Amino acid sequence: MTSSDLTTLNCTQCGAGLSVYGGGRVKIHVCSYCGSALDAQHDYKVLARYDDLPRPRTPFKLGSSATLLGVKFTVIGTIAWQERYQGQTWRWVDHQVFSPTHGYAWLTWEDGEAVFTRKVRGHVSPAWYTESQIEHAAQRPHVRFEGQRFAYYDSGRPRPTFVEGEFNYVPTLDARPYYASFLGKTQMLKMVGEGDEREYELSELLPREATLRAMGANPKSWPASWKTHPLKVFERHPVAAFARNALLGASVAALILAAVMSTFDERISRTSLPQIGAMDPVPFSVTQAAGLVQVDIETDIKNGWVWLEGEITNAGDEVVAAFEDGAEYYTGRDSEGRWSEGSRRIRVRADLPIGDYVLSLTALENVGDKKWSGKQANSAVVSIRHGVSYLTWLISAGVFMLVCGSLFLAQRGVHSHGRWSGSDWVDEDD
Amino acid sequence: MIDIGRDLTIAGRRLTPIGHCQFDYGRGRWDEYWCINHKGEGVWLSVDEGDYALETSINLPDRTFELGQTQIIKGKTYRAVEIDTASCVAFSGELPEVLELGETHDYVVFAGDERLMATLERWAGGYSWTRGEWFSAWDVQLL
Repeated sequence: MTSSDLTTLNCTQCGAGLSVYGGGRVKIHVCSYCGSALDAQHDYKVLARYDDLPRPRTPFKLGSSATLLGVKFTVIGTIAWQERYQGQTWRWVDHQVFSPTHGYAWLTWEDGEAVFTRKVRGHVSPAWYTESQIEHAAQRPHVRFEGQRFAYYDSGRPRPTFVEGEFNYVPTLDARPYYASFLGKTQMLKMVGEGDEREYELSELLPREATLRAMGANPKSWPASWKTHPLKVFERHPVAAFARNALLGASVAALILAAVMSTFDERISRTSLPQIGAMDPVPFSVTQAAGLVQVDIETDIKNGWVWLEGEITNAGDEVVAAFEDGAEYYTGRDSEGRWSEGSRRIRVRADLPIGDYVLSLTALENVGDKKWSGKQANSAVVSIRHGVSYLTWLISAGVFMLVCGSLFLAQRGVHSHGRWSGSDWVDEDD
Repeated sequence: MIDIGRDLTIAGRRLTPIGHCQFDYGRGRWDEYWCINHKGEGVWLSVDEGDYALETSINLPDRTFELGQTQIIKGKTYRAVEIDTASCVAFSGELPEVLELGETHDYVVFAGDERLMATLERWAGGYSWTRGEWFSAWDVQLL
């Protein structure tokens, strides 16, 4: 009988019955009961003992099967890893999985996520990065494989803390295999091994809940981590995508509308009033029914305030609008340079029908602040426009929607930052 | 996964399997398919637990090898990574050589850089060298 026909065997050390799930390329079978490492290619002779090792917590059990990436795989081995660096400890559990058609691969449980890894052959450029090359690289190293670009993520030498089941290689507890991982858009490329033993592995994230269920585990018992796994691809819910597009579209429409409406107004009068104490009436004619009439009074007040009273009368000498408003303006120089505060301008708006009007202005107060060597206003320039739209709310709404839409856009950046947060690469500029 | 007469592509290369034989190496079995490529040439497609190898015959002298020893083929270095014996347990369809059930073959598998590989097979009355590339099951698409 060949071992390819075996479904069970008795441990040659403790006699316990062990199920055989792997294929003909299995090299070692570590007894689940006594921890004896049995040589699967030489009559299951005992090679080593891995007893009293702490069993890792993992949702995947030896012998459980599931369809992963369209291929049915069975869990045949478990190896737990630990890596320490600068006071931090990382732990993960690799399960060797086997398919009669697709051979051997890995199902890893790390940070509450399931990752599928398979060995790949092919042209990787550059072919290898040593620890020293990574350590001394001026910029984040990159590699290319099958048309994809991968950026350096992390590297290390983890140590195994637990071994059980079947493997197509011989794991040992004193092994410190070197790895350097490079992250692409959806996959991670890993250089594994040392010296002449160099291999490449390609990993991708599996759907967490579906994989747990398929493997017979309850997803509620295996909560997801708050961390963003580096292999997690950014996905936007269709409703969120619609909201983003609607907000950005509406904000652009509002701002374009505001820009267009701002061109509708027209200046109908510009008058210089040389003496603010005795200002001549300013006649003007409104010929546009749509929009408001806007009066801008630019004074030359400096370090003081001026308070004006205004009246607009129509052709029948009736007062159709009246206002009181002021301008207060201070300026100076300090250790940080020149500064100014307030405004020299008074702006009022009125809704006036088509017709001829007269604006009369009277200065109620005109004060130069002595503490600041202030000067009274001497003159003013009055500009009158008609067809003015009140655009503040429209612009505010446009800007608000733009900010909200941009927050959706920022989600991708936040996700990307989360993906890379576990990288051990530090830019020298940081 | 592979059937005689059903076309497949492996890394984009279209093949028609027309013959099949199976070898037992004690711990397991592998399959070999004699295929015709798009040029009408015959190539061997070996399938062993997810590892696929596409090989064509080459002319090299026979010699003995130990694990780790190297062979230069067309300027590339190949290292012996597996030496074993297998016996033919099944065959069907059209094959380029006569096989008998139970016939044993000594074989040496060589690995080169990246995907490159080669095989030396020796049996009673003959030997053959083949050279080709490794592929994975993920590179195979049945048509």
